[in-house]
Formats: sequence, C-alpha cells, structure tokens
Amino acid sequence: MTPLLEIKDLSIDYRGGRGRRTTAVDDVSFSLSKGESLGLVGESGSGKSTIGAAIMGLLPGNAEITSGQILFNGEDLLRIDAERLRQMRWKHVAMIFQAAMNALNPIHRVGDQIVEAIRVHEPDTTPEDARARVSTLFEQMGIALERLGHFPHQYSGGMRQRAIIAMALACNPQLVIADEPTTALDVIVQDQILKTIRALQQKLSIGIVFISHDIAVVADVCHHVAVMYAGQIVEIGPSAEVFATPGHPYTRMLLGAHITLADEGGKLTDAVCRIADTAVSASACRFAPRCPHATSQCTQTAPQWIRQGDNHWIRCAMTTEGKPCPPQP
Amino acid sequence: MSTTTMTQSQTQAMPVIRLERVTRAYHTGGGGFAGGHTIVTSLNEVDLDIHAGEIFGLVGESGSGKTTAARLMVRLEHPNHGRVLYHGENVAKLRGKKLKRFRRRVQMIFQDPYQSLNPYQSVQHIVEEPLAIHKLGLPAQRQNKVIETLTQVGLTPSMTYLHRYPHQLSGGQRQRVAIARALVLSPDVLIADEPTSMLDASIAIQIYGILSEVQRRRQVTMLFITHSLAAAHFLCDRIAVIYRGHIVEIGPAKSVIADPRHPYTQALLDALPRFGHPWGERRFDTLREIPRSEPATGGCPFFSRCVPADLDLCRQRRPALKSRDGIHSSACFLVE
Repeated sequence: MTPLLEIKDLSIDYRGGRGRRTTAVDDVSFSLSKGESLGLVGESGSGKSTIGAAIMGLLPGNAEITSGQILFNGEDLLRIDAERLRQMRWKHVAMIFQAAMNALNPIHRVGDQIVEAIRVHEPDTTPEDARARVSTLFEQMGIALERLGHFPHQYSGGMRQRAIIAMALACNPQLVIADEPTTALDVIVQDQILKTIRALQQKLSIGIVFISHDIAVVADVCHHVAVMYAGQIVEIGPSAEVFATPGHPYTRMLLGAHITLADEGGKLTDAVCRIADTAVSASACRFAPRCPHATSQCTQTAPQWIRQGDNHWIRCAMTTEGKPCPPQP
Repeated sequence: MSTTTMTQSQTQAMPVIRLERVTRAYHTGGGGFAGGHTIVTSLNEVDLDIHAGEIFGLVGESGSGKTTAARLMVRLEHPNHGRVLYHGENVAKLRGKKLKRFRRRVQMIFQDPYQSLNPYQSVQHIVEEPLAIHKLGLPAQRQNKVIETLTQVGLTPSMTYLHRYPHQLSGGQRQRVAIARALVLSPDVLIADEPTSMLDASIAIQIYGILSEVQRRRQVTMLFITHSLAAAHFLCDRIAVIYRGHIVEIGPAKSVIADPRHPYTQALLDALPRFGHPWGERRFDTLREIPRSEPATGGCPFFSRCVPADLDLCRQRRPALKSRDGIHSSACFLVE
C-alpha cells in the first residue's frame, strides 16, 4: 500500500549572502500512513519547520531543494507543476500555523475567510453549502456560531487557533501539517486544542505531521516521532517506544532537559546539556561535540542507521543493533 | 555594607519584599471613539511576602498580572492602591541615595534577551555599565569584576566574550549576559521574568542551573516568574498561583503541586501533558468547558470557570487567602 506521505532523502539548503550556503535539512526520510500522526521534534534551527514548509510548497525564495522526493499518495510534490500544486494545497494538504495574529486576515470576518478558502479550492461549491460547512466545522471545534461574523481581533488566542484549525480542515484534507500549533498558548488552552486535534484526527482519520519543540506535547498527540538534530533525523520510531527507551544520546539529552513535575533540583547536571558552537564537518556525527559518548570515530565518520526495534531506528555509531548507546555514567 | 548587616539581624522576620493590598489598574483608550474607555485591573488587592534567601515562584497564564507584579517590585511602575515595601520601606517614597541604593540592590532579568541587550554595546560594556553608573570600584578593577561575573554565569573563558556583541551570541549566551549584568552589582533581590520562555529546553535547564547556583552561593532572594508549574516546582521554595490579578493559592512548592487546593491550580495541573507526569491518572476536573456568566461584582475571580463553585456564595463574595496549616493558603470558600 502506498503511504499517504513519503519523504525520501530530502535535503534543503538556504542561500545566504556572498555565496554562503547552509544546509537546513540533510538527507531526511520518513513516511506516514493514512490516519497516523508523526511528531517532528527538535530544537530551534534543527530544520523541522523547513520540512513542513517544503511539504506545503511554501519554502522561502532563498531555499533550494538539493535532492529528494516528497511523495503524496505516490505523486512527487516537487515534480508537479505549480497549478496542480496549488490545487492540492489546502484541498488535500493543509497547514495549521502557529497561533499568530497573521494567520488570519484582520479585515475580514472569520467565517467569510473560511468560506472564501473553500470556494477558491472547490469552485463548484455554492456559497450556501460553503457556509453550512463552516458552521459544522465551528460546531466541531467548539466555537459558538455567532462568532462566524466576528473579526479575528475579537477572538481570544485559543479561539483564533481553533478557527485556524477549522480553516485547515475546511476542504477535508488527507494530510495536515501542524507547525507548533500550541506554542504561543497557555497550558489550559493548549490542552483543549490538543484534545480537539486528537479527536478530529481519529474521527476524520487525517494524517498529521506535528512539528514541535515540546516533547511532552508530541508524546501526547503523536503515534510516531522523529527526533531532529542539526538538519538530520537522529532517531525515529513509535513515540511510546522512543520516549520509554530512547536510543540516541541527543534524544536522551532532550528528555533529560525536559522538566516535568516528577523532577526536583537534582536534575541540574551540566553534562547533560553541553553547548557547542564548533562547526562539524559533513562526514561526522553532528551531535559529536555535545555528546558525552563521542569518540574519535564519531568525529571522522557519519553514523549509519541502526535498528533498535520493529520500526525504531537510531543514527549513532556507538550502538549496535537492538542495543542503545549505554546510558550516561 | 556594615549597615546592611545590622539591619538584617534586626529584621530577621521582615520580608525582603512585601506587597500590601496592591492594586494596579490600566486605562485602555478606546481608539478615540466615544465610549471605548475601559479599566483593566491587572492586580487586585494582592498581599505577598518574599522572604530573605528564598526562590519564590509566581505562576500564572498570560494576562494574569505576574509581569505587572514584577514591574511594581522594581519600581518601574507604582500601584494605584496599596504599598510595595522593600525591607519595610515604601518603595514609592524612596528618594535620593536610598532610591539609588534600591536601584542597585534590586535587579531584574527580562524575558527576551534579544531585546533587553543594547546591540551596539559589547558584552564588556553591557556588564560593566551598571558598575560605572553606581560608581563602584575603580575603572581598572571593573574589568576583573566583569570577568568574574561572566565566569559565574558560565561564559568561559570570559576573556573571549568581552569584545563580542549581542548578535554574535546565541539566545542562551545572551540571557547569561543579562544575568551577569544583573549580578555584577551584587543585588540582594533578583527578579527573573520568564527568563527561559524564548529558549530551547536544553538551554533553559542550564539557565535554571545558573539561577539556583547563584541563589545558593550568594543567598540572593529571587522572584521567578513563569507560566510553567513544572519549572516553578523544579526551581522554587514557594509558589504563588495568580489568576486574573488575584493570588489564589500560595505555599511550599512541593505542597502546592502534590496537594493543590484551589480549583484553578487543580485545572492547571490537569491541563499539563501526561508525559512524565508523576500523577498520570490524577484528575480534578474543576474547569468548566463553557464558562458561566461573570458575577456582577465582588464574586470569586474563578467563578465563571469553576465546576464545584457554590452558585450563591462564590458568585457574591470574593474569598480571601486562608490557611489551615499556616504555610499553605488558598482563596476558595470550598476549601475552608
């Protein structure tokens, strides 16, 4: 069966001034089946948002896809013409942006904006049908119907985010890219939005690529997780398994730095989070300068993928199949 | 500093910072059209004591008034009613030398290290400037003090940072510079307003490490403002939970998390992702999905969202902070 989304060997560079190039995404591959969710986690600058933008065909002008394929139902989104991509976008692949004022147009009523989105992508829909669909969406999202006629500034942050989700779902997409959808929200609102996303995902069996820096949110929402570091996926697998038995030292560092209510002051060990601002050559493990286990081998050869479980893989030279890198001494 | 030592021994029990029935309200203009003018009460009759040498956490959602509390404590603003006391003295009344001393002894670390550092100043300039302003030490000695402080916040080797500019630093390094700038004056109060909300988790935990180390070594009194109960629990000795300008619960950090008493605190704990939650199954279900209509005046601030609320009592009267054990208090009629 063809997966819903399959990314193969994707690499993306950003061109800077004076001919400089920065590799933001380096040889990334993963796939997602219908109705499944995959979390892309990593710190700022790890390339996770660039992947989201590439799937949507919304990369900025100075970005260049240097290799790879983005297959949506087997069709390479990087090879199709602009008109076809425009049709696919929103109708089949939609995006939930970070809860920001600028994801909604401030001078149009929220209901009208969503009706507009539907009619642009499905020109055959009558205005009445489109309105009825938006009303249903608002009900599903738990927004009162009188809100349809309000402007974005009259919405609270959480309600705006619900409206943004409603807009993403307006054309019944099969795949939704959610880029930090709850990052700017308070914890109670975040919880409500995540519940809504989970419920809708099950009900409509949408595929979701969930981009977040927050591992707790990903653990709550996603079936699978891919941990990114410096443009590469370093560990990928079922999220319960990855978080219970993390194999890559970076995943362990991320989990170690994540503060939960179970933690007390003793967690403050400097070793878990060394900083490094030294550049690393392409033929080395990216994480080596920060890794407590790094050997000379790690700084000379790029690590290969090692299998940890059924669908659980890590990229670390210090491991052997089925055996993660030994825990921190 | 001999005077400080004297007053400290005399005023053992006196809080370093005290808010006494502090109210701060802002007028919001209605854009110039008739009738748009409203008053937003950011803090409402808040009483709060912060004691010497403790790390005190103020936890609340955006708009709850936590940053306003910090701004009042460092005298960036004055309350409309009530008093802010520093070692028993009304901060609003400080003048001349006393005011300057207060400005030196109470320091603040802001949320966004991308905005709080002057991009045209080198690290040395940024960290040294407070010393020059307060005429502390000879110019020749100041650089040593700067280096020593940079070392303390983990910017080592410090010499290599002196001549760098903020744009050459990462977010975590900038926040360390901001901490160094606050510490260089050897303050006795340090107010950190969401110091890690712009930073990645692995950097945030290092900043927490620095703050708790600083507190331990220098016995600074610290106010840590955050929206994260987990971070407050991790770092603080005591926590106050603030909701719409009201302190609804206050107590030892461990006790507030393990035994939350106010329905709002309970709702906050319910809302945390279950991942790594030591009470994964514990739920309070105190938050109404659809809010009730707001009480006209004087009711409990949480009434409209509160599941267990008493429809008469909680709508009409505002509960005061009360405690059964003298250390952990909550402002809720249902707890009494």
